Amino acid sequence: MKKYIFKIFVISYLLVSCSINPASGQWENINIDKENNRVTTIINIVQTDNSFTGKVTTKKEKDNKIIEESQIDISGYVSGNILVIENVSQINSSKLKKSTLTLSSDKKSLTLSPGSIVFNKK
Amino acid sequence: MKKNFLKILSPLLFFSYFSCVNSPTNPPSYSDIAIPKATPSALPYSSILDNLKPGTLPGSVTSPEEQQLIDLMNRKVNLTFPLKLGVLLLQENIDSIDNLKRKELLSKYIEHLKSNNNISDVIEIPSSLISRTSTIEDIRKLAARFQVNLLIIINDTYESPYNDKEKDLTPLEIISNINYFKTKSNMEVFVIDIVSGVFVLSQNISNSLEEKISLVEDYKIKNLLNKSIDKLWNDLKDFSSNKINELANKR
Repeated sequence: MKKYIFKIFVISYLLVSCSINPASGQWENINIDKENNRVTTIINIVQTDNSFTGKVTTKKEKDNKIIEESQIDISGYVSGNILVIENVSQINSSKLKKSTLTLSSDKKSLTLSPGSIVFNKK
Repeated sequence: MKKNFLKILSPLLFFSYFSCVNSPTNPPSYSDIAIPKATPSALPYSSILDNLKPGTLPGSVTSPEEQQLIDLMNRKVNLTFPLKLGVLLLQENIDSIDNLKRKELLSKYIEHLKSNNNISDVIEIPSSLISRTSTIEDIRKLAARFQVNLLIIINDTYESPYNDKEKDLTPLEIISNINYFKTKSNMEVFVIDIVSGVFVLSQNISNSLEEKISLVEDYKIKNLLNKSIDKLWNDLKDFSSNKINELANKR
């Protein structure tokens, strides 16, 4: 009986947290670059009420072989359906351009601006 | 006797009085005297005569340098077409571009000029024949030895591409190691008429290129510089052709 209660609690927590923090989860974008390489970008987001953290991973493949792979951490605040990226790791001496992730109304896609790169929920 | 003595003495006293009034022991006030000012005419006659030159009025004397400038100002450029051109690429300390590439670009430029109907021949004047201290007159004399009508003097400079750290980056640019690289190429072009020594044309040609380049693809940095250099020399070709055709049409 205790086991049941715990499972129900975990499932309901996940359901509730996902409905409250819809940006949480894994988002993916795949495109082909100028050199005909397949570039896969995945954003993993953990959203709390007013802030979020995440990891962005890119993988460049040529002839099914990974030729380049890198990862950065991002974090910022949430305003409605917009996630404003405030910090990025590995920025070194460069400056971060004002960037946002906008959640679609159906909560199935996330658009990174500038560039309007669409990420679909995985 | 006394009367006679007075008769003789009175005219003497009269004259002696007037002579005393006008004597230097009693000078008049200076305000009553017009003092001559120091004018060229006040100079000794010998120095005035020395300054005089045939054909010039006193006060309008020009130095040999000034006369040379006046001559240059009044010289007329008479070009005979088709032109025989000389091209001189000045030797500069250019680290960002190899000398072979410059030579290749110069050869292509000369070939391009040769294809113009208003040009009979183009001769490359070797920069090794001039030194850093050479004056424009030295260069003109050198060009005269090559018997060219016009000399095109080119002074080119190139800036190696550099990472513009002031540029803001997006998260995806950061993850892809993308940076904004900038480069600049510049060229000063002077065209001198060898006979008159007059500059017929003077132009500054330049370009500035910027490109997003991933640091892992460093060959693209060199490509950016090459793009800038090629654009510069193509602009020079266009400029030269247009101007030579303009000069030919002005005849």
